Amino acid sequence: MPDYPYFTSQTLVDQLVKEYLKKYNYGDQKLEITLDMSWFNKLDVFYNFRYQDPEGLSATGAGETGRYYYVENIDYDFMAGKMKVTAIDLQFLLRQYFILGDEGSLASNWSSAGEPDRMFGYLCDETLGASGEGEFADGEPGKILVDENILEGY
Amino acid sequence: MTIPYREWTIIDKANLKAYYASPPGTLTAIGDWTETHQKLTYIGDENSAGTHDTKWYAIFRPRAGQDFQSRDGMDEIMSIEFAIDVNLTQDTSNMTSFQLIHGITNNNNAWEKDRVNGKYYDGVNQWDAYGTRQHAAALDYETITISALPLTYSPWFVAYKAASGAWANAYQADFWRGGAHFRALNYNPDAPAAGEIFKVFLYPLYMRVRFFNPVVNSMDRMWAPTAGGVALVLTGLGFKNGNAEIDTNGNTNPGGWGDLVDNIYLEGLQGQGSTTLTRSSGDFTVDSNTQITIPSGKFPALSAGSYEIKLRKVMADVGPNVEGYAGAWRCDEDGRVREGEKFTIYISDTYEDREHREKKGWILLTDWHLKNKLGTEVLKYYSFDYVRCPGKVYKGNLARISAVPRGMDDRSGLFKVADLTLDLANNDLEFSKLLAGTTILKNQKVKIYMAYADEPEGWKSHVITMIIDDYSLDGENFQVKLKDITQKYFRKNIPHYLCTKEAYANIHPDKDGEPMPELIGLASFTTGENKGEVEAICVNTSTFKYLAARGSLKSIDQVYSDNVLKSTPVDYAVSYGDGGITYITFTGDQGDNKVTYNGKGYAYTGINSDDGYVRNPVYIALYFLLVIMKIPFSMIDFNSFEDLATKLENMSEDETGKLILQKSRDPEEILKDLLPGAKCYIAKDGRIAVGKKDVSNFATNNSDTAPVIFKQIDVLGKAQRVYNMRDAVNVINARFDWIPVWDLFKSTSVAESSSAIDRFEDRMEEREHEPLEV
Repeated sequence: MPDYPYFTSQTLVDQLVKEYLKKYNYGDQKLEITLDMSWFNKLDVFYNFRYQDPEGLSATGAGETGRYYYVENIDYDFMAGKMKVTAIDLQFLLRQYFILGDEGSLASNWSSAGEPDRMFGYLCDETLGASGEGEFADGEPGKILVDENILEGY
Repeated sequence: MTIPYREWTIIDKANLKAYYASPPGTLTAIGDWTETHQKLTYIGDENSAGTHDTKWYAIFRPRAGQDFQSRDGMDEIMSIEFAIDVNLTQDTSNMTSFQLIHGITNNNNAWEKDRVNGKYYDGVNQWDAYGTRQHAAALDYETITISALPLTYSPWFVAYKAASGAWANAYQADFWRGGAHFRALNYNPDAPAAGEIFKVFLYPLYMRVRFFNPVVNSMDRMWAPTAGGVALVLTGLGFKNGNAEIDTNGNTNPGGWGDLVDNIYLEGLQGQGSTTLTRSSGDFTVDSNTQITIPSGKFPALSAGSYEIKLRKVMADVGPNVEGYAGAWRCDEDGRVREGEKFTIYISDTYEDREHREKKGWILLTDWHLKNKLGTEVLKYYSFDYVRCPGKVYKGNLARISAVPRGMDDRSGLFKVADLTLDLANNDLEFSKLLAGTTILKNQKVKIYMAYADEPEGWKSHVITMIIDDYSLDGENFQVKLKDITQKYFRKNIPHYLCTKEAYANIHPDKDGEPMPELIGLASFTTGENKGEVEAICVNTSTFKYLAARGSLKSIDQVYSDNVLKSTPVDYAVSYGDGGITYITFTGDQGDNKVTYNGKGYAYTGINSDDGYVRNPVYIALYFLLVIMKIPFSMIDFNSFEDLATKLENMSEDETGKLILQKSRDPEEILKDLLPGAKCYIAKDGRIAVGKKDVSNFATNNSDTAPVIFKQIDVLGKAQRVYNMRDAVNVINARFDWIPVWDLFKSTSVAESSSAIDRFEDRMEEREHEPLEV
C-alpha cells in the first residue's frame, strides 16, 4: 500500500496517488525480452526504448510500431552471451495525453508527419476507412474527437 | 563560470587542547599542550581564574577511504572551501563577537585520527612545532556575531594572497596531509575574563577543492585515419578558467593566471611515441572554457595504434605544468569531478564502427582493486582469456561468472541489490599465493567491464562495480562471492547513534539505548490530544536535560511535556553541545512525562530551501544518503537529484518533505519512502541516481533518441508481455505525514478508478498497512 510518511502536502500526495492508480489500475504491464550482447551499450536501467512487434497489441491487427517502454531490469548472462530485459509499458503515461499540436510546426497531414509528430494528435475523419471507425487516408488508425461526457474517470 | 572540483563530506575531526600557565605566552612549548584526545571539535578559551587557562583548536580532514589525496590529473589545487556549522556551546563572557580564523594544518606528518592530541600528532610523536600549527589563509577570518549563532559558515583558502602569490596551491601538500585548522581570536570587546569560558562547537559539513587541471568529458570522435586530416573536438571544463573566477573570495592576482591549455600530446600506447600540438602554433584553438577544437588541417598523420590524449597548461604561478588526460576525470555541468577512464583515440585505416565490432565478439574484463595491510592499492586483472593491453595484462583465470543482475523494483521505486559469483581457476596457484600473502580482499572493489573485438582497452564499457563479500578455495577452483557496493553503506541501523549510560551517566533508566532522534524538514503538530512531532530523550535526570536531536536543529518552536505547552526561558532553554547535539534543558523536573517538540531540522549548504534548512523531499533524500548513510560523494549522481528537485520546485511542492528518525527502521525502506513517485537506481557508471518518467523524458535517453527494438530481428527466443493482473490496484487509501512518536498519520488520500472497478467487478486494494518502525 503506498503510504507517504515523509510528505506533508495533500496536493502532492493526491497527485502521487492518482499517478499510482493510473499505472496499476489495469495491472502492472511489463515486457520481457532477451537480446544479444550487442545491445549492451544501447540499453541501461531506466532507459527508454521503442518496441516494434508485428504481433503486438493493435485493434486492427497491424501490430505495434514503436510502443514505448523503459527498462526495469537487465540480467546479463555473459556465459550465454545474452541479456534478459524486463521493461515497463509506458502507455500508462502516454495514454493520459492527447495533444493538439501546433499547426505551424507539425506537418500538414498524417502521411507526411514523422514518427515523433505522430505521437501527438492528428484528427482523422471518424467515418473514413473500410472499417468506418476512423482512419487516416493511408489506413493508419486515428484518434477521434468524441463527446467528453463519455470519457471515464481516469 | 564553473570550475572542476572534488568534494568530501565524511570528515574526521579532533581537538587540540592547550592548558597553559596564565597569562598566555605563544603556546610554542610542548608543555603548553595536553594529551587529551577529543573528537568533539571546539574552539575557544577558558580563563580559569587560577594558574592555568585552556584553549582549543579544531582540525578536520576527510576520512580515509574517500580518496582524499593528490591524484594524477587532479593535483593542482586552485582554492579550497570549508563548510562548517558553528554552534555556541558555552559562553559566560560578555563577548559580542569573535574572529574565526581558518587555515591548513601545518605538520610534516599526517595526524592520526584516533590518537591525535595537543602534544602528539599520533599519540606518540611530537608535532613539528607548537603554537597555532596553521598556515593561515589569505583573508583568513570571519567576524562572527554571537547573537547570529548557530550558523553555517564557508571560509575559503583562496587562490591568491597579495604580496605572496598563489596561496592554496603553495600549501596543497600540507592540506592533503593535515586538512583544515580553525581557531578563535580577537574577542570583542574582551577575551574571557577570570572565571569565564567561551566555547564554540564546529561541525564540518564538507570540503570542496577546486583544481586548475583541465577535464575532458567527451570527444566527438574516437578514431582517425593514419593520414590524419580530421577535426577533433574536446568537450569538458577548465580549459580556460577566468581570472575573476580563480580569484574568487581572495586577492587579485595582478598578473593574471594565464590559465589556458597550451599543449596537447597524443601519446602512443604501442611505442609510437608522442606527438605535440601547440596552441601558439595554431594546432588547436581553445574555443571556450568548455571546448577545444583541433581543426582538420592540423590533426597530424600518426602511426596506427591507440593513443591517449594529455592536455597541459603552462602556468608561471603554479605547476608550472598543469596536466590532465582526456577522460581520466569527468565532471558534471556543475563541475563536480569523478574518476573516469582515460579516452583512447584509435588510429587505423581499417576502423569498423561499433555495430560491426559488436557482432564480431566481446570479452569480459575484471579489474580488482585490492589492498595490502599497509593500505597500498594492489591491482589484479582477470579475464576469460589472456588479454594483453598497453598498460596491463588480464590473466585468463576467470572460468565462470553467474548472471549479473542490474535493475530496480519499479513498484517500490528502489534499486535492487545485486549478488554474483565468480569462479576462477587456480591451476597456476595464483590465488593460493594471493591468499597466503598480505593482500586484503574483503570489501574491496571488483570492477567488471565488457570490451568488443578490435577496439582499444580504453573503450571498454563498465558493467558493474561490486565488493568482495566472501571467498573459498578448493584446490583448482577459487570462488568469490561479490555483493552490491551499496550494501557496504546500507548495512547499518538507522538511527545510528544511541543515547547510552556510557555517554550520559544520569540518563533516564527507560531511555538507555534509545536512538538519538534526527529531524530534517519541518515538524509541526500543535493540535489534538497529542502534540509535538519528535520525542526528546531524557539524558540527565539530575539536570532535567533532554536530547532533542543528534545534530544542530535550525530551531525548536514548541516544547510539550505530556502535551502541555512549555515556554522559554521560564520552563526550558535550548542549547547545542557535544558535537552539535541539540538539547532542551528544563528548569524543573519533568518526571516520567513524555517530552515532545516541534522544530525546523538540519541545514546543508546548497540544498537548503529559502528559509535556510532542508525541506525539498528530494534533497531530504540526498541529505539522508550523504550525511546519515555516509555514502561517498563520488557514488551519487547529483544532477539527477537536482533535476528531480527542480520538478518539485516547479510544482511549488519543494517545501513538503520531512524526515523524523525516532526508532529503528530499515534504511532502504526509508529511502523508498523519501522519493516522490520516483525511481532510485544504480546507473551503469555505478552512481546512485533518481528519476521520474513524465511527458518530457519518455522519448530520449540523455538526449539520444530512444532505440527501436525489432522483435523479428533483435529478440532472441520468445517475447512475453505480462499483465500482472493480480497486482492491479483500483482503490487506494494512502496515508501521509507520519509522526513516529505517536505512530499516527496526519492525513489520508483516497482515490479509485471507477472504470477499472466496473470492468473487473472488484475493488482491488493493496495489502494491509504494515507498521513502519521496528
